[in-house]
Amino acid sequence: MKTLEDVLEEITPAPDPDFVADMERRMEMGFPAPEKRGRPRIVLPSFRPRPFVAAAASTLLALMVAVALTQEGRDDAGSGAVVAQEAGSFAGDAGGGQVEERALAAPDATSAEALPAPFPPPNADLAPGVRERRVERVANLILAGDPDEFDRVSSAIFRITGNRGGFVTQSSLTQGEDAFTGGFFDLRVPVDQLQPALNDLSRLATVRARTESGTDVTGTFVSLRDRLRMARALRTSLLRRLELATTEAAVQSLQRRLAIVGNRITGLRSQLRDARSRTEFATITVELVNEDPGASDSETDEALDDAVGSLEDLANFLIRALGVLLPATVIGMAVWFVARGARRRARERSLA
Amino acid sequence: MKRRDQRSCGMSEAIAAPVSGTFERAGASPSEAFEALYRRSFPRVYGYVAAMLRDRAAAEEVTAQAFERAYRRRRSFRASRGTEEAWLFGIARNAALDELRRRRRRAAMEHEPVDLTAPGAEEQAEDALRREAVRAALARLEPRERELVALRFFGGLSHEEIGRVLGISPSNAGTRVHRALEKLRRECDEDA
Repeated sequence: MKTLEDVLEEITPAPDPDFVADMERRMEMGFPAPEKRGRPRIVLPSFRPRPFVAAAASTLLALMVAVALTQEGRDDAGSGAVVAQEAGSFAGDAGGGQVEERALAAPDATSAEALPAPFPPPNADLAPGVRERRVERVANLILAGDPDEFDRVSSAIFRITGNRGGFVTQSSLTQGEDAFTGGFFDLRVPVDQLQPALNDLSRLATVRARTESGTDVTGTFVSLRDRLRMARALRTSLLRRLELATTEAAVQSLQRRLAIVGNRITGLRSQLRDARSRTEFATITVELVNEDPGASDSETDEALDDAVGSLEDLANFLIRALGVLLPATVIGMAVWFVARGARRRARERSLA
Repeated sequence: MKRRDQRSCGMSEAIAAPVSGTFERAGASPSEAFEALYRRSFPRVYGYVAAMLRDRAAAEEVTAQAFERAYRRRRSFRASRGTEEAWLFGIARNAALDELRRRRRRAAMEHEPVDLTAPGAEEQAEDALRREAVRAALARLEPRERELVALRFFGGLSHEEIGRVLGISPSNAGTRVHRALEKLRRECDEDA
């Protein structure tokens, strides 16, 4: 008597011989997919995509980092331009002269109103056509040396400045626990002695940085001179009118205006003197810093700093990318799981 | 399961020869390994699919489709996730269920699969009656129960492999197969 299992084996559906032959043929051909009618078949390239995808992703990442770094460099350059513009705005004249004239013309003007503007506004008259240009020269030196030598260098700075006909307006040496840690000097030397003085100072220690700049202040200078001339002329005129004044009120009014004009002339003289001093004497700032024992390794340090900076940039980029990719991946996976579960349930329902 | 390795179902010995191990064997390319899998599992896959669909033409189409899919995805097979047979039967099952869902065919079996192992005229009539009774009882089973019987006896899968295909534990698969077989037995006894 055959068991149920034996009978089940006997009734196992077996493939038709024609179908078996057809499958053999398909197996030999590598199971080509049947052509679907009405739908163009998309043929994918036969290469394995993983290395290609990794290379493409790496290239894309490198490009994005490079673009980010380039953008950062542009930002830096932009801020530098702003600084240059601010420095350049110092030159030029105050249109404040017109304001002063209006104040002086008014009989009730106060002395405060009559004071000239301390800083000329930007885009003021640059005094084109003036042959004798007035240029304010500024130089900055950063000297690196042994802290034990700072005292000697400080004395040498005073000596060189004096020898070149200049003077020291400000000096300071910073004392640390054991020795000097730095120093700062503000010097004025005649313009024609600027280069020799800088050369002398540069020999005192290792020059870490040396910058020189010149600012044309001819406009300011000419304006001050003209305004002083006009103020003097006005004073002369007021004095003549005072001589001819017949009433007490007119005398008092003229005296008040003369006082204002006198103050103004004093202020303008001071400004002119200051402007002349600034153009006749160059400003040198000397900064003393501790000589870095690892100065010879500065390029290596710089390279290391760059490498660390690049890594930080990369990390920042990855964090930002993760901030986008992570939620997108989580959402994508959730959708995929839901879709997969729905498809599975739909399949199982076909067995119900 | 002894029948699994013994079954030939009329195929050549080369086709029925069992090979064990992982999909990519030492010294064999994925294509060669897949060919070996095809040769030892093709009739069993067909038997399982035919029992699910109960339509010869649909069974042939789905069987071919299952092997095509498996061939295209042969590199995605991971031995850690189960045997090659479990992987292949999983693909075949999905294809069969898709076919069932798409065509909404359930009960109407237009053509009974040809039984290539049918006995000759000399066989006793009692055996023929017995087979017909089992076929009829199998047709009365619930689709899920019929699938379990088909996986176990037509597909020749172990309980562990059935569990892999259906996404259940091996012990659960064994329990379900046992219950389906008992139900089939009762159905047969009722017919008798």
